[in-house]
Amino acid sequence: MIARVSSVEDWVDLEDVIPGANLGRAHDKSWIVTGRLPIDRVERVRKSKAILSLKASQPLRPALSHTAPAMQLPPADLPAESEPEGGAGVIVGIVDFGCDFAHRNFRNKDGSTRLSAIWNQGAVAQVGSPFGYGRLFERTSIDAALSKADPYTALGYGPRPDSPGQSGSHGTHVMDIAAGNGGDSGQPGVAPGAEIIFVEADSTDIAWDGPNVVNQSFGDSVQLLEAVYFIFERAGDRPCVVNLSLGTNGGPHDGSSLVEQGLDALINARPNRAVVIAASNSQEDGIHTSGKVSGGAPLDVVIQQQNAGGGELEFWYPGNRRLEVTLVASDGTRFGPVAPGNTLPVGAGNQIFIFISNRLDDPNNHDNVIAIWIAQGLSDGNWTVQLRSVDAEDVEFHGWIERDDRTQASFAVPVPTHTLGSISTGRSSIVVSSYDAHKQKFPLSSFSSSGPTRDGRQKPEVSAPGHAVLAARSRTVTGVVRKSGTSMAAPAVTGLVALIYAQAAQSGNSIPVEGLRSRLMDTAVPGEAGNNGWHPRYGFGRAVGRAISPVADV
Amino acid sequence: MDLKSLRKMESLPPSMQVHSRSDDETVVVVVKMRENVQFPSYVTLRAKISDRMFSAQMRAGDLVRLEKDPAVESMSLSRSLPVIE
Repeated sequence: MIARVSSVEDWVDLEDVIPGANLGRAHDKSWIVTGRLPIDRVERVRKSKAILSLKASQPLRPALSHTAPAMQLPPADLPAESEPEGGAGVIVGIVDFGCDFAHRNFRNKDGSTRLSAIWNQGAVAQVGSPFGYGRLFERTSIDAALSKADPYTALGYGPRPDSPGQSGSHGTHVMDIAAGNGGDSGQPGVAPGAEIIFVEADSTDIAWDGPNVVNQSFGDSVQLLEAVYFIFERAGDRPCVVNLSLGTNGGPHDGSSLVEQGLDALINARPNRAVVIAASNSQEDGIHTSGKVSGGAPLDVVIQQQNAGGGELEFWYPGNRRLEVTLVASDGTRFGPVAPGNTLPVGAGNQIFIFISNRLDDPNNHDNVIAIWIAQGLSDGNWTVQLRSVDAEDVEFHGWIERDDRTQASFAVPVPTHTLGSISTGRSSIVVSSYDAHKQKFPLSSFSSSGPTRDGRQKPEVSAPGHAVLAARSRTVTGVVRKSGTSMAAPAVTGLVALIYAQAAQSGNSIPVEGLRSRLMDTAVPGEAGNNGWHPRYGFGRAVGRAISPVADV
Repeated sequence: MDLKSLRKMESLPPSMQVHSRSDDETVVVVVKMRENVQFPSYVTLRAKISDRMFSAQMRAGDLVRLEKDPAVESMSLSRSLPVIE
């Protein structure tokens, strides 16, 4: 963008702006500057007081040029006597969407692949497919395909071509941040020496999620667990860290879901295993609220729809309390009350348009949960959820609105905490938030979700560069693309974990996950707020190369 | 199969509760067992996640058998997870 601004300092400090050049002063004493920002942030930036006008473009910088310095990873910044050798000997597992194995950043100097396996969960099963589904491509198959003019056709797998909604695949970008080797660009990811295993996630159950899922990338909870299991099994005794960037808004947010318990079990099965997960990008979506229903008096929680898109909500509250729920439409029509333990489908047969469930005693945490589903197109007004304590006891609750990337509903009075993703609240995972490494003070990314967990644990653990990160663009061989999100931050920490494991292995040490978590948290650099200790969005601070230290306590 | 009737089933997103499923429909689940019990012999395991947890593919109608099995602590029906951009 080219901008005319009243203050260069204010322009540089604007969130989402990656400053470019200061071109000088205009006749009216304003300044002409350049910078880059995501297209969906243009309107937000345009409203800033410092902006007098805003127009278009600027050349690209080397990929990942800000990630490594911000994390203090250049060799000169690493702890004395540490030589992690780019994570050599460590397996980096990526469970994501769209692996461009032909990109130079994932190939050795002789052109052979750095990927030891790709498991495409959505492909037609073959003899020997893991767990009887999808298709497994071994290194030899990948190398054979790379020798062909069209390696994607030759292998029978490749990232989707770009579309109006996608510039470069997500998985390729993520994989480059964690473990790309720089290829021709000379700007490697965090662990360029690691071996890579990629699982192309897929969902068994897509038909149940309706038209909203078309052209979106979905995995599912069971296949995610199996993907992590598969990667750890392939790694065997070798150190292994898996990167995940999947999640929704719903769920208990206390680590009790079986997918989170399963991840914890896989991580703790042996030392040198870690799972790093993106915190989520829902901080600005107004998807969480919390409060207390005082004895006797009903409490109204208002939900704002977007384009009559309906919504899906969950309210979790302690198992020893009882809430009654009524849903009120904008025209005053009431659905309910629904007593504890009951359900209310509204409609007939398969034509249900409202569904309310007031479930008691979830089998994993023994809490209660009120779940509400409102179909699209019923009205464009607000809906009100009325909660009443049945026995006049005070009841504390947390509510979430499920993720809907097209018509995201929100609470009229959101509470900007507890916005971590549905699988980002486990006990042994490492959850990562995002900051902007292009700014001197490393400000948090506005989208980056907030902890703590519903049971009060301190997650996210650490933060990393996730704002406007330039990394590999699929189907370009050497090209890059800029993306923002906590899923750009998580792989930076995934790469850092690979370096930690590689360094420890040189001394014959293995690191249990709690030791790894402590290293990352204890060595983190406090965030912009100057917090010493844990911050609900920054975690314990910025993850940095000091965690690699060979003399650190393991 | 009315999924809402399964007390050992991890709470489902409401959009998944709206629809009932036919007994013959294939579902994928994660099952958590109680401590010190064997995995059920009537289920074909896909992955042994831990000593107490496994994944499996089965008929929806067979979820009732898991529900009635005292060795089963809880189960979770596979649910979609979109990419976090």
